[in-house]
Amino acid sequence: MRFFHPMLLSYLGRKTVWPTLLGAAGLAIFELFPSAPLSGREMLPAAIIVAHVAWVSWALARLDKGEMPFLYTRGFHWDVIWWHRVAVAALSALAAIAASSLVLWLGLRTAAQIGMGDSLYPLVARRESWAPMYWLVLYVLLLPVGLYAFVRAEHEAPLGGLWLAIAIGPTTWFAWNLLAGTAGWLPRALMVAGGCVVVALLWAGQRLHRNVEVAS
Amino acid sequence: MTGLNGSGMSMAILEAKDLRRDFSGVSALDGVNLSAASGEVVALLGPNGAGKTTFLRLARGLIEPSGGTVSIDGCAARVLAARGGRGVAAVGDAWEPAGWISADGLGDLQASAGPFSRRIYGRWCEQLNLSPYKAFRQFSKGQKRWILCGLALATSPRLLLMDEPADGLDPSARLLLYQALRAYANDHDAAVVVTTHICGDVEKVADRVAIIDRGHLIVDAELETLRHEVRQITRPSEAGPIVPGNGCALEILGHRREGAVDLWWLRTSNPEALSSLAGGGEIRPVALEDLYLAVTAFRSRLENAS
Repeated sequence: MRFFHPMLLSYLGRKTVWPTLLGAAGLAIFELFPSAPLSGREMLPAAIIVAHVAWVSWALARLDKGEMPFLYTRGFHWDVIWWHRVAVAALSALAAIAASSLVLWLGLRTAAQIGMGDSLYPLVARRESWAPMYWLVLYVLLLPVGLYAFVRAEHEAPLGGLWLAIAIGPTTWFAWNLLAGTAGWLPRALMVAGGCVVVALLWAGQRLHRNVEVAS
Repeated sequence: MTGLNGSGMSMAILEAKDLRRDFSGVSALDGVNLSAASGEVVALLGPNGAGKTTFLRLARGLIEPSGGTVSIDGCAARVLAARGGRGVAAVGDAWEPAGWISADGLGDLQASAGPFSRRIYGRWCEQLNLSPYKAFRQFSKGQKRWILCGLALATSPRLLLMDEPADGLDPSARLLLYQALRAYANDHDAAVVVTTHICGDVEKVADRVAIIDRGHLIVDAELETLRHEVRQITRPSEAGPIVPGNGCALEILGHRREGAVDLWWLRTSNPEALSSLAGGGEIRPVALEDLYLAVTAFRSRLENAS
């Protein structure tokens, strides 16, 4: 079984153009304005990431009417389709992180803050340049939740996916804050636990996706 | 089901046994037994909402049966679909790609998924002078169907499932399509299952006809058998009903009263024996469309009466 199909990646990728723009532009624009140094734990970027993840997951799970049966009858193994969905979602997240990183690393935020008369800049610019990495961790934790929730919603209990997202979302938020704000063994343990949850969700998503009913 | 069973050719590629599917407690397909053998074109007829599309979705493995089985070369359709469904091509009534993709891009996508002949697909599109670079959304309805049929044929499948493939095609393109399907089944020993509402098309292409109504398979017979064994008798109403078993093995497929005459659609292996039932009326062979209308209306009346 051939596993990588650039055409499939590109086909699915077109579905995520708008959510990717939302994530990338949202994070990049946000970075220009706060006067306090970025910690990676601000509320607004987290909300942008949640919206981005939800939109991407929805766009990949709910292809337009007729498009899903078309794609699922081309001859691709359904596991291949699932992992391409995961890859496209990951690329969308990486695009948002890349855009936000460029704003910091190219000095656009520093220039904006100096322009607004913020005396902290350029002194703190280097310290906050890793904020997008915290957002990347949030993407890594939330994307599998979104992808799993929507493939689960395709099954008999559509609300099952919603409850799962609601249950895991705040837990992730809490753990993420803890991870970003403390040192010692707890963040590491949480990182390992988070990694396990991510792998488990992707694996379970693949299993569910194999039995999904493709409506028309 | 009336009991008109297809004779079954050498090797069944598609086989549905007691196939059932419910949607929210409503039965869309109920106990359907149908097969398609290599080299055979099976036409699936039925009113709107009869269950034809549901049957094709089940056969392609897109949905789970509520009961019974449907298999392709002995493998459950659902299992085969999740593995990619190699060897099975389907054109759904509303299964279309994203509008932005070009005809050429569709070829690339299909080629990426598995065996695919660009030469066959290219020639197919050239027959209607379709630009390979035009976005799919810019094609007319018939042209879209033509492209999707070309994609399916170019994968050289063993089983072709087509839901109203000629929808939107002009008569000449429709003829070309059905000729291509017929030739494909013959040349590749493939099975073709095609749904349509146009009985004239069926008579050009099909080996076997299956009629589905309200989720039930009510006719499944070879077209030649239907032509040979089914007759319409027109006789005065006062002659009373025709009773099966009156001297010859007989099956009543339909009945309609028109003024002072009764129209009966009957099947028997010995049409000559029907002359005793005509009672001075007229006996004539039946066109498929008349048969279709008669059996669906007859069944509807029977169900309403019960």
